[in-house]
Amino acid sequence: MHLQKCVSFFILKMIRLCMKRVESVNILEIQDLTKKFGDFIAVDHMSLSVAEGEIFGFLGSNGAGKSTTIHMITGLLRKNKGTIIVLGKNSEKSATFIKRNIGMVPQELAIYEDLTAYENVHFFAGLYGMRGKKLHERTVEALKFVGLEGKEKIYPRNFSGGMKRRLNIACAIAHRPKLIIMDEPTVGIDPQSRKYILDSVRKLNAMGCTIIYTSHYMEEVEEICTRIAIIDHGKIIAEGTKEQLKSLITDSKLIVVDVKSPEAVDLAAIQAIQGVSNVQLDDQTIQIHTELGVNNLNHLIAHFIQNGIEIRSLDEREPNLETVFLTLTGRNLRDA
Amino acid sequence: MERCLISAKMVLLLFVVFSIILEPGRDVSWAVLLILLYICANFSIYLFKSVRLKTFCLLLSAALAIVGYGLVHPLFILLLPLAILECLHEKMNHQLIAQLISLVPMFYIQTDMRPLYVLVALVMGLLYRQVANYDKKLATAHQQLDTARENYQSLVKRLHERDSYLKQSAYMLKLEERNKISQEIHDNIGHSITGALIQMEAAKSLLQRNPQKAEKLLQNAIGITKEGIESIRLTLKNLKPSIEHIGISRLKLYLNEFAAKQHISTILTHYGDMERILPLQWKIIFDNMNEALTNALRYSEATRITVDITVLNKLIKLEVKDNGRGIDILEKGLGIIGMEERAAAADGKVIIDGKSGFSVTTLLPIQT
Repeated sequence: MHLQKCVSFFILKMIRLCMKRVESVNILEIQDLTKKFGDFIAVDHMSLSVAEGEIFGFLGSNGAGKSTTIHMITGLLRKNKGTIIVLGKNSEKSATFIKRNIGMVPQELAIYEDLTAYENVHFFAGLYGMRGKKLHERTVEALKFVGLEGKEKIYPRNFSGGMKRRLNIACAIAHRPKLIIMDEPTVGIDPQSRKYILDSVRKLNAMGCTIIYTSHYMEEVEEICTRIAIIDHGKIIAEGTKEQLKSLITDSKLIVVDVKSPEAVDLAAIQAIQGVSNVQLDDQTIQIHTELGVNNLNHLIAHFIQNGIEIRSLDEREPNLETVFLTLTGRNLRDA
Repeated sequence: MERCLISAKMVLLLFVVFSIILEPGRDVSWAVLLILLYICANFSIYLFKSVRLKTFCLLLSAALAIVGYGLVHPLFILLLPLAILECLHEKMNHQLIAQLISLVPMFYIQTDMRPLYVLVALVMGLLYRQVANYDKKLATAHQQLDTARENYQSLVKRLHERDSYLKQSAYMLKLEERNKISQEIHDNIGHSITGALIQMEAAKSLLQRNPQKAEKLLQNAIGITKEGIESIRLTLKNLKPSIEHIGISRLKLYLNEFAAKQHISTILTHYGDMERILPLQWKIIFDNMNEALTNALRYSEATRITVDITVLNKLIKLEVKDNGRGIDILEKGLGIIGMEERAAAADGKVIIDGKSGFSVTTLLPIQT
């Protein structure tokens, strides 16, 4: 009887322990991270965590400290202060483990022009510890993933900028890392390649990879990231989903409707439509302030149609991350 | 380390003593003298503080070992290696070299003693190296513990300071408010009620003798009381100004004074619902603006400073910006750290940018 109790207790405890492991699935945890170059503070007491399955965006202007942070995560730069825990391991004690289990797509192309596409991926996957048949299979798979199948034997010097970028990504994902860090992977490429890369980021995420994505292109970050940290002067000044970030500065969007006969518009009736917080008539246009996150365009348009009012144009002005950045820092993202 | 070495010496000494005693037909008096001297010399090592005396003691014990070996009993040579190791420990970085040196005397001693000597020298060397390593590690661990403790202390201290800053500011605001209320009560309501009271007292004493006069006085008292009630109403209304009013007007006043004194033009703008800023946040805004103004005055060579307060949906933003020469690489001084800490006390952030002019932005979350 006693023994049974003991055993069941032990088993319960083990299960609980396992559950705990599963619960705390922060792929990356940074605490109080600081990096100085002389007097210049590149990263200033930064703390953040990235959970498994996220596409985490680092958004900031050039020189905000994005790449420095990433280089410290991957172990390329020494930190001055703070702790970094990647995949549950301390970055100082388990540097090799971390390097083997993350994929890094650096900002500057890291491919050899004198090796073919296949050889490039083969080489890098080999560095990450792949061997033999597996190495070959993964290499082919990675090239296929970035859409470079059939171009295995071509030298990257004959590639377009976008293809080079894609090859750069293939080199980092062949060993199927749990965490992929992409440092401005879309700098200087054509829109088509950019779309391809963004799609593959989403696909990688769907396959279970956690992705850290840095960019100073607001649209990209807004499009693909599930959570975003806005970085400025080495500090995280705001963090959250894009909705949370937008709601920091405002809780409404503006719908501007240009109509033919504004005098026929019943402002009170529009005010009564769900989500509308304020309506103003301004010359020919009607300015409708609406709560963020409420989609009432159908109701609005139906209202105009039912009352026989002709709509000339309709413009929805929603705050975007650029506005958030501008409002918080007083500067544009593109400002150097 | 010392304890371990002393025990090692004890063990060696016991071995030597037993060997000598168990050997039949030998005069042990000289041996006893030498051993006692050896013990004295070795204990003195730990009693002296000066390195020279320590070395002297070590050399003495080495000499005793050699003398013992030559004159009394060959086993005394076994005491030599530890003395050599200890002697060389301070001067050599490489323990291995010290160990090799301790093996050198092997070539000068009797052949039958050699194996035993080598054994003792090697074992002692190993022991010594282990102990020394362990000692070093322990020392660094202690040092790390100390720094960690120091860090902890300073963090705790800063936490307390932040707490007390918050408490103090809240207390200051309360005091100001109380002072104002008592002043108002004294100035307005107190006077009216006293006036009414005097009239009523007079009416009471006149009630029998001169009812008409008494009625007039009472009427007066009623009038005064009415006025008093009105003034209470007014006072209450005045006493409850919007917080925003105190905050913004205080900033405006300060900025105007600053502009007049320093010949720098200042512009204050604000946007959004100022009512949502709490008194404590006003205090932080005021203090941070003050600090930023002082910095601008000291370093920027600016001619114009703009201060902007914007209340966003979930954030309050204070921006102090000048048109001075800015700065490329900022070295954080106490002022900026102070601003950061004040902001952090209310979960806020401070952004500093010196690329076009110098700007200090304080972001505070709106508390609901």
